[in-house]
Amino acid sequence: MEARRVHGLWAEASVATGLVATVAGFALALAGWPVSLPWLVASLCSVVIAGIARLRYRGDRVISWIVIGTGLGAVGTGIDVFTDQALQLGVEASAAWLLLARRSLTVGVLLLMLVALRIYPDGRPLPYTVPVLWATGSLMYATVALVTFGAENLPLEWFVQVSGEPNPLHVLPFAIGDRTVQVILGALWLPALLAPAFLIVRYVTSGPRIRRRLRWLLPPFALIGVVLVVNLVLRENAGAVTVAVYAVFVFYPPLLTAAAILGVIDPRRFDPDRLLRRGLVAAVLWIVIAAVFVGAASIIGVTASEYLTVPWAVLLAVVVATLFAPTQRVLGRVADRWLFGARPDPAVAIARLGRTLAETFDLGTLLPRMATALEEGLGIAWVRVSITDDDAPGRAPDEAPVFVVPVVLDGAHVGDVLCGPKRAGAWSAEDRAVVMTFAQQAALAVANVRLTQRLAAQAAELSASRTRLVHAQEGERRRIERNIHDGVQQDLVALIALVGQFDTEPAVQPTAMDLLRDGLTRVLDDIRDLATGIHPSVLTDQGLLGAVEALAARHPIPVTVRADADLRTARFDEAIEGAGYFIVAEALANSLKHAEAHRVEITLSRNGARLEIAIADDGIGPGGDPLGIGRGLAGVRDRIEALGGSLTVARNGGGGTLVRASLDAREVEFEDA
Amino acid sequence: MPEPLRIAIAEDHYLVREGVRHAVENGGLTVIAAVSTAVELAQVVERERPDAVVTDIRMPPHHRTEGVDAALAIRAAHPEIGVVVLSQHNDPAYAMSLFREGTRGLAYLLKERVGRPAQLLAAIREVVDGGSVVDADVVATMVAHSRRNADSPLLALTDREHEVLALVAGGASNRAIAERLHLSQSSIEKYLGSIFTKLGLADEPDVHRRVAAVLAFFDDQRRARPI
Repeated sequence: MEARRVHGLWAEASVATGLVATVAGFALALAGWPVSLPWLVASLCSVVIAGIARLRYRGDRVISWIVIGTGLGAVGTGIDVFTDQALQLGVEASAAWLLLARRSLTVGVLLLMLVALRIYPDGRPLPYTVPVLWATGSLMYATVALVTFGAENLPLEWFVQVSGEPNPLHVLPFAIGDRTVQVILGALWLPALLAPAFLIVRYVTSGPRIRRRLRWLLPPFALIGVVLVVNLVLRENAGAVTVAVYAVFVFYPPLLTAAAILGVIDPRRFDPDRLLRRGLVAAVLWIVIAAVFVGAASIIGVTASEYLTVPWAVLLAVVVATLFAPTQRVLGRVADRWLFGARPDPAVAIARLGRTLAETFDLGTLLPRMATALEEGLGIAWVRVSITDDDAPGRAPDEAPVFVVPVVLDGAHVGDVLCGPKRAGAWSAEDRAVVMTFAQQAALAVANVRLTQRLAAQAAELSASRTRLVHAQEGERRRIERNIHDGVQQDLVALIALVGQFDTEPAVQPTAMDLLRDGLTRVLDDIRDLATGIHPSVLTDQGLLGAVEALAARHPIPVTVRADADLRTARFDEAIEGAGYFIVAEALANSLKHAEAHRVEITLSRNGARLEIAIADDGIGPGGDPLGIGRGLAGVRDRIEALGGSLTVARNGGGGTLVRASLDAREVEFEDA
Repeated sequence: MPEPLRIAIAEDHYLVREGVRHAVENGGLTVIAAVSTAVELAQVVERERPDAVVTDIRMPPHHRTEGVDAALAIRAAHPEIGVVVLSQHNDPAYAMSLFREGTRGLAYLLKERVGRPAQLLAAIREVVDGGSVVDADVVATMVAHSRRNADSPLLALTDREHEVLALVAGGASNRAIAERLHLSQSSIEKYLGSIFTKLGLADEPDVHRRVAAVLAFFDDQRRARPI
């Protein structure tokens, strides 16, 4: 801000000076002073001041040098006026000195321009140009000195119609004739060809962006080059071309001045290059195109009028003109495109963004792409899309944003779209609307990405859960098989062996019979327990509450069961009752195996459509394994979650373990006979 | 000599059915019918009016608790017919479901009692007389379950009183208990008085009512409390 304020002050100073000077100048003109004087003063003060200010505060040397050079050039023109006056008044001495001053100044201006062109447009100097400029400068000044101090008569350019008058500054031992002087003075300006030369070298060695900025500068400089050559060759007969060139020169400095001043006032908001391009060359090209168009139309009209009556000729001219109109438009568009490059089209930007959104699911890639799409689509200097949770920065801005749109998702503020200034022109309502649309797209993209991430996570968890369930099933089968194989089968084999003894001893001993009976009873008990472990019949016949009471009663440590009264008769889906039963069985087993508990309390309750089961013990607590993965609860958890329920393991208030399960429990009609 | 008791058997497993038939017939009783479903049992009972029924619990068509339902239906319609239920389930819940309307003339035995025919026959005779029998193993399970509660009154009983209580729950009369424990009947009565006081039960004169009271006590111990 500080720099801006200073810039502002300088700008005000320069504009004020210019205005005052202009007004004063006109006042003086009315009093009889030469008319170009106010113009001189205004240009001098405002332009040079603006140029120096810009050089100092923006460090933009290119424009600054151009501006300063322009101002000084204006001085030179003013001096010309005085020179004319002096010549008219016959004061040759003054005229000679003024000529020297003006020539030196103009050489200096050319050198300044070359210095500016050397670093145009982005500050990178052309290599090897410093010695070239030194040599050129020295040569030119030497030539000026030569002509000033060695010409026989007043050294005047070929286009100044003055009779040869003796040169009061002729001090050199030799004399140079009028003709020679004119040739030398003409050739003096050959180094101006360095200007287009620099530009051409720059154009050829640069990339497309630099080239675009150079294009507008080429035609005027080419014109200048052409004019100088024509000057040299045609001399008196080159009147029309010279007029055209002078027209260019007349418009050129004021536009530069205006641009420089505006550039100083708000260098960010306004790029003087743009103004010059638009104002000057666009106008010239349009004039050329219009002239061609008018010329063509009128030529046809005039030709036609020789063969047709006037009305018909006019009609023909109009028809031709109408036909030319699209051509003119096309030519105009081509010129526009050539000068300014393709104008950014917001619709294209949005279409491109749509494609990007469909292909990208990673915020880290998507946000920078959106920012780039906006930058290119609307021609903004910088754009940054930041989402608070996953910040993927674009180019980090080094200044405050000009336009900020919040990204809102489901009413929550999740981030912002920050835009810097536009590269050319100001922010229009259409631009703002486009950015706001982009912000909505950004919100959708964020929602999309988050949804995709959540879905992927869920899918992964589902897959893992399924795998666990299958493994649990297999493990269970193996356990049953082992029990049957190692336990029951062995017992039966032993009993068969016992029966085999009866073969050898036909008289049946009572003790042997008792052994047999007891053994078989034991086998029966084992199988009963096995069956209960797989799926207890009391669960099927009595329901969940009865089965839980049975579990509680069998448990080695005291278990208290609390339940809603209506659960006594309520029956649920098989899978629900099974899951509920096994969660209680598993939790009770844990209370014994791991928790070292002394009491357990089981609570069964209904909560709307859900069945809540809680098993709390007074043991050592869940420890570092809250999910109970290592405690066999993982398998039950998978079963419960597959049924749409939930399972949590937490620390009990009193320090033990609390296992809570919640199941979707719609009652079913118990099928009876 | 009184006529041998007429028994109807309901069991869907062929070998077990034949085993029961043999055990009953070897005891001198007559088997008038041996069916395999509860529906057939009901028809036979209506037609033949046996003295007692020996039935399985799990039978076609659903293989759930058809036997219990049939037993209760028979008791309700024909209070003079005793029912012995042979169960594969050691769970006291099944016994309680059988006795939910009362214990008179009902016996709950584990199926393996078939291996000890004397106990099966004793149970049949008991229910014909209107008594109740609960398989000793089932009683033992009930007692064991209840003992784990820290606030159970059972903890106040002595070992001897536990023995007496178990036999009471099994459906034995005072005389049977005295014989079994080789004590005098008066000692048994003393024990019973103490037991019932400690458990907070009223001393019932009828054996089957006593059984019901004790069973109800045990059931109450294992039941869930209201929230």
